[in-house]
Amino acid sequence: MRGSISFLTLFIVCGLCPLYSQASFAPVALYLDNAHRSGYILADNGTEKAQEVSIEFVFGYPVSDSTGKVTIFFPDSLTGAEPNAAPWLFAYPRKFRLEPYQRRKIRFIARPPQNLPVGEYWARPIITSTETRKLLTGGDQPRGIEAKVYFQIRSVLALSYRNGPVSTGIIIQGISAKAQGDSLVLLLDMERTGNAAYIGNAILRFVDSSGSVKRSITKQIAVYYTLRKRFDIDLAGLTPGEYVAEFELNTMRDDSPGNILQAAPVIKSVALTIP
Amino acid sequence: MKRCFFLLVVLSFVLLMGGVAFAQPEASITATATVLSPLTISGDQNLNFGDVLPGVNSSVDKATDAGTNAGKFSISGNPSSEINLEFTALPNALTNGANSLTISFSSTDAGHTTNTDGSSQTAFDPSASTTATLGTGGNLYVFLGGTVQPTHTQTAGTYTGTVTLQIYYTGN
Repeated sequence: MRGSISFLTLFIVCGLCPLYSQASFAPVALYLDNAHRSGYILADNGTEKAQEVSIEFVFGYPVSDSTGKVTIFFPDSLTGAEPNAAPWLFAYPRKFRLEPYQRRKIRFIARPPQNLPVGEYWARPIITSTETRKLLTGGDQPRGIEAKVYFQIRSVLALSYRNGPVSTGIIIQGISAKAQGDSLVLLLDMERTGNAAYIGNAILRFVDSSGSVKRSITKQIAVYYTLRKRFDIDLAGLTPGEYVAEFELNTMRDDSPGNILQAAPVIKSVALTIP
Repeated sequence: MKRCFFLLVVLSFVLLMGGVAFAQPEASITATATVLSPLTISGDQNLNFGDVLPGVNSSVDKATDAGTNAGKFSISGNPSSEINLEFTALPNALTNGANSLTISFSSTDAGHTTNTDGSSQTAFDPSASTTATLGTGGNLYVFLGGTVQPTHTQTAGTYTGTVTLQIYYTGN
């Protein structure tokens, strides 16, 4: 019943999208564990053209560069020590044709090896969808030169498998600040503790000497090992003086209810002067 | 008189039934719904150079041709979430059987914006990944231009290729 209503909800959400939509996948993050080794993602083709869909699993996790830009790192080679769930995840069906306006489940099943050590294991399901096209035959060929580029879409989702008791936490390693044009750039360096990824929020409150919050920025964070996160504060309208940049990290996310590992909030502040 | 009696009987019946209905013990069911957070990506408009002439380069601009020939993707998901965009394996040629037509992409041939008409794009290099933030309504539009370079002896025909756009939430 619950699944049916979830399906209906997705249908309603997708129904609000324009009819030319290509493909929708939900949810975008899936959590499995040793008691629940299967789950599913809903695929929806909102177009009048069929889609060829295929699924593969790769190992990857978010990393950041020195500027705070976050990407998913897909290692070219693996040592075997990584918490890699990709080799023992299976999708059913792995390849299929999604007919116009069709919705269907893609079931994911984990078959972890025996004696898998306690911990959280990660994989990125990549769902490739391609619009099916009619091949041009000799009679369809134009007399001139025509050039056209078609599109293929790869949607990279997240999957975590938890084996045994897992926990997470976070440490703020450092906060650095530098002026950049009319903005103040704050870089927040974080390190995850425990044996599972830290999925949460980072809230920046920029407070003046009277205790008044002059700026507030909330960003989602996913710290698998370490992460640098960038916050830009618009200095326009801020008077010169002493300020405090207070960062609060918490796990109160509402985008994946029941699946986010909880941890105590962490707060750290730095004093700053705007000349 | 008969008619009045009939109406009285009907009215009594309705009131009686209503009373019976009101007197029934209350029962309830619980309806639950889990709102799934979808990631929707559509290839709205193929990158279309149309008819080109032998020996004459033809370009499509991501901004000025946004509503006509530029490639266009629409993305919708969690409002204000950060996503990574990457065109993987950009083709350097379109093909028509054994014949090929050179295609190239400059470092500013891709752009993203929260405006569906393609205005106010932030340019990015289609051969490198970039991060962008979904708008407050959860939408983002990606546009792609390019240039084809037919030779003087280019064989007539329809040349096609495929561009792959890879998208993911960074979780941030």
